[in-house]
Amino acid sequence: MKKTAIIGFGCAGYHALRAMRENGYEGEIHVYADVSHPPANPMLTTYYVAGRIPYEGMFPFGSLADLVREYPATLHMDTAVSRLDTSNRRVILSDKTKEDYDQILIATGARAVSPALGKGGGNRRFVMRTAQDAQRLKKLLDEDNVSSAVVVGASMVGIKVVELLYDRGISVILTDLAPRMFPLACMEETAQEIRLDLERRGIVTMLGSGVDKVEEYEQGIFTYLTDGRVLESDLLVLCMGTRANVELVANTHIIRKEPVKVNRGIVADTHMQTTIPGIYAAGDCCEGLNIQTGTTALIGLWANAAEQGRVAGINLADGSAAYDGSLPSNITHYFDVDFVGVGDPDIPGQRHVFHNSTGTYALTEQEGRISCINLLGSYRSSGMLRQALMKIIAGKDPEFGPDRWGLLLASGVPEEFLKLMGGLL
Amino acid sequence: MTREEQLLKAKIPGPETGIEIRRTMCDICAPGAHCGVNAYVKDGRLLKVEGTPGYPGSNGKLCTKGAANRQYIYRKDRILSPMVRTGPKGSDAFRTATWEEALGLIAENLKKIKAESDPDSIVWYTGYSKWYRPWLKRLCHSFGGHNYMTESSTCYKSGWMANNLTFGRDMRPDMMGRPRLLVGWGSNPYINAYLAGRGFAASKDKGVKIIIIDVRRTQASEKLADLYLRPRIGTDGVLAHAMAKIILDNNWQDQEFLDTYVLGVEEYRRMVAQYDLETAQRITGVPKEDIFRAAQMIAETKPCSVSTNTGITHHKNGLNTCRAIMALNILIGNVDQPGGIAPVYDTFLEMGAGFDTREEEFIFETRTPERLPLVGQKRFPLWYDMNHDGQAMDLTRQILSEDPYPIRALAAFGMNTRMFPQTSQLLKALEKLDFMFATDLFWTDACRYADVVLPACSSFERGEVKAYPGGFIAYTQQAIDRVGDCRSDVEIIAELAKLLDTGDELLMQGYDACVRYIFAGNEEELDEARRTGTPVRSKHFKPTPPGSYLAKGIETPSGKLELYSTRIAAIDPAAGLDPLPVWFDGDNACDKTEYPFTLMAGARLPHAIHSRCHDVPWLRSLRPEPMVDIHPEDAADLHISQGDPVTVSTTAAALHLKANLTLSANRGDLHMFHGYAEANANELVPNTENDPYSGFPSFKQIRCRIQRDETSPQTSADREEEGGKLHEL
Amino acid sequence: MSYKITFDETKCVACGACAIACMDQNDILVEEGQFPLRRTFTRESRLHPEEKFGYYSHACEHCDEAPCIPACPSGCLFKDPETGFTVFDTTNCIGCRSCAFACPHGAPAMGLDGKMLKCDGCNQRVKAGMLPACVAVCPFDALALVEE
Repeated sequence: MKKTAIIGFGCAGYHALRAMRENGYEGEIHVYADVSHPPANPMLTTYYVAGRIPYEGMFPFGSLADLVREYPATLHMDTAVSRLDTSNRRVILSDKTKEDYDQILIATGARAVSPALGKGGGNRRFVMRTAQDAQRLKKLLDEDNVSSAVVVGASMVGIKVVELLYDRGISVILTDLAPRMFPLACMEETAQEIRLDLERRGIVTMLGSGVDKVEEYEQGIFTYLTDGRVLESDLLVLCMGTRANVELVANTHIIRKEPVKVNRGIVADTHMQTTIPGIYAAGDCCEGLNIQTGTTALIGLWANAAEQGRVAGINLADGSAAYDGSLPSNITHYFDVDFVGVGDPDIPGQRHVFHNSTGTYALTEQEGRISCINLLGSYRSSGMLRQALMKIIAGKDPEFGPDRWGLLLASGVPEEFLKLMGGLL
Repeated sequence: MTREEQLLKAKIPGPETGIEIRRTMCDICAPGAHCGVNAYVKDGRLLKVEGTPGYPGSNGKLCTKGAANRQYIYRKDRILSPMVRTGPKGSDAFRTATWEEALGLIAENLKKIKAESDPDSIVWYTGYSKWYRPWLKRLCHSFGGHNYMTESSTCYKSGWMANNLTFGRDMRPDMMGRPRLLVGWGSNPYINAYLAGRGFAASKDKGVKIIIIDVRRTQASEKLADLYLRPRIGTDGVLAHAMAKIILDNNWQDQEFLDTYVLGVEEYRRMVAQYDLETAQRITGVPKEDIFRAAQMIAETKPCSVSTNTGITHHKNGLNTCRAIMALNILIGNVDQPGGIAPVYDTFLEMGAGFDTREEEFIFETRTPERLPLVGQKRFPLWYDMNHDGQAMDLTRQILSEDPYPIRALAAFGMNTRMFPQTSQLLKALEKLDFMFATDLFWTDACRYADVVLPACSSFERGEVKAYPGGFIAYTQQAIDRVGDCRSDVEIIAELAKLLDTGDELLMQGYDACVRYIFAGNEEELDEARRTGTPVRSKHFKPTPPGSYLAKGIETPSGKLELYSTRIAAIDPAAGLDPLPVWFDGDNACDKTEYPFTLMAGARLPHAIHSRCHDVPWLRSLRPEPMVDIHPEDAADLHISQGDPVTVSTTAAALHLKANLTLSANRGDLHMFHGYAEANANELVPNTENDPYSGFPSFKQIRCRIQRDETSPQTSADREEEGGKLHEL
Repeated sequence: MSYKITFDETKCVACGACAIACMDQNDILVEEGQFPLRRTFTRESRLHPEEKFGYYSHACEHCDEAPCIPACPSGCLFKDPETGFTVFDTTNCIGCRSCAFACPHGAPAMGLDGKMLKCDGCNQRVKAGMLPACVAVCPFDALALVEE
């Protein structure tokens, strides 16, 4: 009987397990996870801290018992895998136990990092990625009298942390080394609107300044900015980004002739197989196809992880599925604001911005090719426009038939914007 | 959610939820449809509506408006109790009253005015709905009056008159006889009568050819038409005459039919001779090839049925236009032939169901001889001659001028003042009345001018009898609890019959007794229909086979189909009415450079009928703001973009609303839907522009201009504005 | 078993009856700013000489591989095994709009409670042997319930 290991049990791991069972895989599946809780969604941590969902709400696929009942597997919880012997498809645990498998899926996810910041900050320094991170911050907010906070990172996580702190009546300073909000998704024009809106609400933004170091003292924490300013607050939340968990297979080329190729993440082909046959990777630990660049890249999105996990699972079940690739895509809803960014905002081109009663619509266009869109204020058309941009970037017709055109207009998208997107008159 | 909660939320009927399906009917629109409704009811409250499968005509379907019955019935402005005015007319200063007090006040005032003046100084007016009309008219008669008038003074009756003049009866396409060509003239059946739309669409599926002639591009012109002709507004008569000339010139007419049945062929031939193709193309704007092709199709495809709709009659030459169009049926001999046009025999409430009732006796048996001319009788003699009712389009004038005598009181049942051209003048007239009472479901403008207001109820809140084609009799029962302390119109009428000392025993006995009188011989059917909630076929049902009308004798004065109307010829020549369906330019006289556009008020929207649907939020959401339709190129010339605020002006008034750019409007034409409180299209229509034959206002042909509002804040935000200008990154 | 609500463009005139029936079935409070779950619209193509009017009715398409399901971070969306409709339990919905972002058809919207709302195919009605409200009302038979 075939034996498969899934290392890591988050979104990708869950979807792989599910796809394997749904596609007729009847062999053993061993799942290794270094936590005890069911698959969690990092995106839900801020909602838990904000008190908008219960603790169990962070685990969207339900309890481990229910999961295994529906999709049978042997779970090795609280079990850290220290290394993979890729040539032998062998899993080496931290207690040196070894287990051989016919195929392995690496779905170890990513972790929050705070590069070049040392260890300072102690109990007043937080990150926001795991259920434990969320519990820790929630405990402090519920039990201590917090009145001020610094959030580092004008990112999708950062803004949600800002929102939950603000909603608790805490005065918030938001900083980022990048000169604009949501630097990976947002054009300057929309970023400026977003920033002004935050300032109007009384949230101080200090963009374009990095953090040198942080230091805890009796009453709080000092944050030293690169421009020389020092911020004093009750707590500090670092939302500076994530790093793919690739250590299991890092540097395999030193000991093996056939290395698992690792860039910023584990490189996978469209079948989610790594450079070593029988070893697959999916989710935030891996680089999948970015259709805008044609290369592989980390695009850490819940829906991507789900799709990559599903594709890997089907292939592990001897089916045939391919990952179509993705595009940097973000949607966030904070306060009463909707922001949508699709594509790389740093690709040069002509910027077109439209305002109407439903919001702001912006796009970048170069010689008729669209590389990025931003929406601010309306989510209704976001899925349709994202789909259209994916098609445009893949060199396909965006298929703006009259039905789609009418629906987009009915959703509030300006006609001129649609014309630029390549729709028919 | 528990299973029970899920079922309740999904409104699944059954013992688990306590939701019951009760049978009723929708009466939001005219009685031509009155679709069967399954009302989902719990604890007396309506939760949801659905069409009743198997119901005559509608068979489980509902239109846009009918689907919104729940919000219509529970509209926020439903009147909850009788009201008595405490402040100035036109204001909202009213107090609640008991039924006893309110009805007492009405009776006291009407009896006083009758005694002081004349019963005919009291006008009995009714708008929608139409279900109680025979009762109201009988009440007017029983009280000694004759000045009964209805909103049919602007709707349907002109076409009815045209057909009666020409054919001796109203005529409709004989769909049962399988026409092979349908000509829908001014017709968008999808929207104005969806059951007819279903009929057209089904015919098309079976290979029937369809010609649509309409000044607007509509769902019908786009989906149904094999040939679409788009004349300029008000020139349909020329188009019809030109087609007639082509048919006669080419000798395509059914000469034997003309020789046997028709009066005035030679006069008619001479009249249409002036409309050669060049002339017709010049006047109508329709390419002559298309005119020829349409005439040829009509002449060559047998059977063929040419029909019109009310819109065509909202012109100063409306009635004649209708006669001119319907005359084509005569030329090709398609009258009372299978698949042609067939005579209509009304059974009840202007619906032909294939059996007779005593509706006419019921209405007229208490009528006394007239002493005074009725409202509009002098100004619109043909209307009076054919209807013997008041023509409400002369009401405003007579109240204000007191010529030929003062109107002192008004009984306003379901009166929509925005149906009247230049509504503000009517409101001024209402202010002058000594007494007025209104019944309505909703707090309307008419209510604000009344001294006493009575709350009426919807069809769901009472029972009602209806006759449907195929011989069916429906008799519904009250399906839901009444909203507030409302009563049915007929309950109110019966009560007034008592209090006004009419001595009309039958009317005082109430609805059921009257219905049994009217439907005598169908008592078992009534009982069964009421008991089961399902329409029952009358044992007296007898279809009228094609040909029987001609055989039995044509009901015109001459006994012939009249291209030349002897009835009109008998009217005082001073009225200037022509017995032939002559065409004349119906444009209102004004400076054409100042008013370069033509306004058409009343172009149908699928989610509105008159004013009653505008305050139903679901329906309003389909087109939230009053808009004027304009051709995109006209708009571009005037720098008007989609959604821009604009002003439309005529010699009568100016209105502010939003622009809607659409190819539906021809160049030079503007189309507006009517009945909006904040943008009453009919205010733009001068109260002097009426068809002298029918009295109908020229709702659909008024010169106007349009301009973009420069002072209003720019809402064309909904497209590019300053921020949308291109700039380099 | 899998049901779909199909749309026949040739029959639709965008009269809006389906949208109203949907509002009636689902108690949509448009007056308070709630979005309808089914929309109708007319699209005029103005490319001379091929001016064309298109009439449409649109709601959730209940895709076989519905992208909204994996996109939901809270696992609110799922397929009803009995009907194949894409249904939802928004107890844990956080209002993040990821479903709307994943949907290529613009179906998911937010309700007045800030939680996702979309067409569920009248799932309970179909299970009870009835037609979806929009299909039942459609005056011109442009909408149909088909079993795949």
